This record gives sequence, structure tokens and C-alpha cells, in this order.
Amino acid sequence: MDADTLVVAHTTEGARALPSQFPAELHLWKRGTALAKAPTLFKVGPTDSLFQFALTGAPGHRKIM
Amino acid sequence: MSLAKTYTQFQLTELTPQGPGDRPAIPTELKNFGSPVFTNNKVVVQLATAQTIDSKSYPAESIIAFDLATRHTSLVMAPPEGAFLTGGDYAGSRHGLTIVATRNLHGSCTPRRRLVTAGRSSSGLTEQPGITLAVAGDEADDAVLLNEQGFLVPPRASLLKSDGARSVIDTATPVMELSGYTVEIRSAKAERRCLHRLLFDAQEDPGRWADADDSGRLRRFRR
Repeated sequence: MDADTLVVAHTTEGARALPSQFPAELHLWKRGTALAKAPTLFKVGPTDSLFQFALTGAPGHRKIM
Repeated sequence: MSLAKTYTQFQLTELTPQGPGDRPAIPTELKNFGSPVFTNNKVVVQLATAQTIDSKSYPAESIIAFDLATRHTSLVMAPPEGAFLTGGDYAGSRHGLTIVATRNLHGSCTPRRRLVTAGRSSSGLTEQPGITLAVAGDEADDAVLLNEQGFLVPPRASLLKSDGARSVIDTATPVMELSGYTVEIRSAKAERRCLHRLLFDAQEDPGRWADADDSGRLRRFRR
């Protein structure tokens, strides 16, 4: 989102994973903080297959699609 | 974000750091796993099936754009007559979209891929048979990255501007001398696989030929 704020999908440190082992959650991580404590932006439903994301928009007006 | 409900249904959702935003008026039956590209605050996807959006009909394979500011959907390109738009063969830049279309897959069996820049007029680029074009881009850039490669052409990367100007960035060295070859497409099916054949110069060595698979790798030689 900016130099110190990243959108992260991961399966480390006990983060939820789909049966396929793809990430099941999307997090907003601030540099210098613990990844495991990054707030959750999105969680997949129990029957969803996977998700992917991209950022769009100018710096300061970023959107997650 | 693109959420795959199944492997044919992809739900696009706008997210903000505060949580889910409005859902764009984009159908769920999309090509290329619903992966969008972006240009000028627009989300661009390709329809897998015919759809009606805001009382407007769009044929299957159409490339559509959803404007994040006006919340309106518009047609970028429907499949041109005699051509098809393969999933994901388009890229966004600051100036619009660059789209790769394939013509004449059947009939004359001479695939040609044409680059079309949407949003402003631009001369297209047509490549010779046997050459594959791929594009990549970013909405913040002025040009898109064009990759060309084929049976007789080693990979070549160029910057392609919206006015059609190309500047080569890098070209791979040919692994063998191929100047005596030509490419003819003898048959092609409306399937994923085509048979391509490399022919030697008939005057140089008419009895010698080689087949190549889809990736251009020589499979066998015969004298």
C-alpha cells in the first residue's frame, strides 16, 4: 500500500491455509511488526478454491483488487 | 481481489484497509482465473461466457472494463471477425491496453497475432507465422513489455509504446543457425495443440526436415 504497509497472503506462523495449501487469509502488515499479528483483511469461505489479489491506484489511493 | 468460488467462477471484490468495499459489476464467469489488469482507474477482465451487464449484452470472450470512479462497465473489445482473444493476452499501461489477438487459426492455418491498443488509435503489429507474442505491463508505465519468440526466432524483449514504436531491450542468441529455415503451418485444429513443421530450404536439402512441438523444441530429424 505504501513503503511500510504491505498486503500479505501467507501460510507461515500458523496462518490458515486451504486444503490445497494456498493461503486462506489476506493480511495488512506494517514493517517492524510481527507478521502473525498483522490484521486480517479477508478470509476465504469454507468452499472457496483460492484467491489472488493485486494493487491498483496511485500511491496514497491504493485499492486492493 | 479475485476469489475463485470454483475453477470457473471468479468473484472480484474491492478491498480497502478498512475491509471489503463495493463489489464491481463484473460477472463471475471470467477467463484467466479472473485476474484483472489495470489502466486509468479501470479494472479490465475477459468474459468466459456471454453476459448482460446493465442491460447491455457482451459476447463471450469480450474484454470489458469496469471504471472504479464512475462504476460503469464498458466494452473494450469483442472478438474481431476471424480472430480470437486468448485468455490473459493483454496488458495495461498508463495509456490504455495492448491486446494480442490470433487470426486465421483454421482455414488457411496461418496464425498471426495482432497487437491492438485500445483507447486510442494505433497501428497494429502483425507477426509472421510461428512467432508467439506476449505482453506484460503496469498501469504506471508508458510502455508495455513485448516478448516475441518462435521456432526460428530466439526470445526477444522490447518496449512497445502506445504509438507502436518498439525498442529492443534484449535478444537471446540463437542456439543454432536457422537462416536456411522457413516456417509453414501445415495444419491446425481448434484445440490447444497445433502441429507445426519446420522445413529446410527446399533447394538446399529437399529431403531433410524436422518437426517441432508447441514450444518450438525440435523433436526429431530425418534425412
